[in-house]
Amino acid sequence: MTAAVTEIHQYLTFWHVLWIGLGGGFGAALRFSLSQVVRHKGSHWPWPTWLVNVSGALVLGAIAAYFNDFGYEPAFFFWELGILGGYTTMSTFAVETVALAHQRRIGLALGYAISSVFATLAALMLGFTLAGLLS
Amino acid sequence: MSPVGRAILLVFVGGTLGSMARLTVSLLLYQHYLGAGNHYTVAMAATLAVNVIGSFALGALAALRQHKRISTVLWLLLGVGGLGAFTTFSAMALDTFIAIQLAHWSLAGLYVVATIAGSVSAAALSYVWTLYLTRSPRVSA
Repeated sequence: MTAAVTEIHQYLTFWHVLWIGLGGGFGAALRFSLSQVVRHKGSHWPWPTWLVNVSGALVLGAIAAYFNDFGYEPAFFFWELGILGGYTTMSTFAVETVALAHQRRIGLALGYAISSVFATLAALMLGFTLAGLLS
Repeated sequence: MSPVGRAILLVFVGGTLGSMARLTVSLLLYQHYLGAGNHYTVAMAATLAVNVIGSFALGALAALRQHKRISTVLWLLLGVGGLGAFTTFSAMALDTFIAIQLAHWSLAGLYVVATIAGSVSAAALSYVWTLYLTRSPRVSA
């Protein structure tokens, strides 16, 4: 059963929804665990979230290349919306940017926001290209 | 259970609920707005919606946490787990990449700017409002 990416929601069952949810829980737990390991070392730059978002985009690029080649199915949602949706985060990024601006570190806030966008996009393209070469 | 294990479990439970909430928002938008030829922009709108709403909610939670109005348990469950999983950065990158591949340059640019500006200003608004609303009352001498 394969379909276009925007059609797969029609095939979701209760069990898919449960698995996607558990995938999100796993991704979030992984992000939290990493954030406890990658501590700020005297730097104001929010490294944990930055690294999580960039690495998550790299993996999603590879996943998207796989489903792009072999057809989309509900398993794509398990990865995109579940695992990597739970792992990467926009809300923490937004609050960290606000916190930097609130501390009058405007340059750092702008640099964090702009580099997050370009680094995640570059990582996603890299993951997509690398997985495309392998398959 | 160790404090670290308990924290990870709370984030896991919150993340499960947050992902299911995001899926629900996506499915509702698909159900109501999906038509011929707009599949792609509806998927973008769903990602944009969860990111802005989730950032707004986390801004308020962060302010409450800063003033110690909510417990660490609630912060880990709803903030780190729930809203962290409800919102997404990787899907925004994928949506943008697809728009770039389709050579929809202005749509890609507009989408990124709307997501980042929308999420950051939503978080800033709710953060400042919540700090203002929960300030300690001034004691008149």
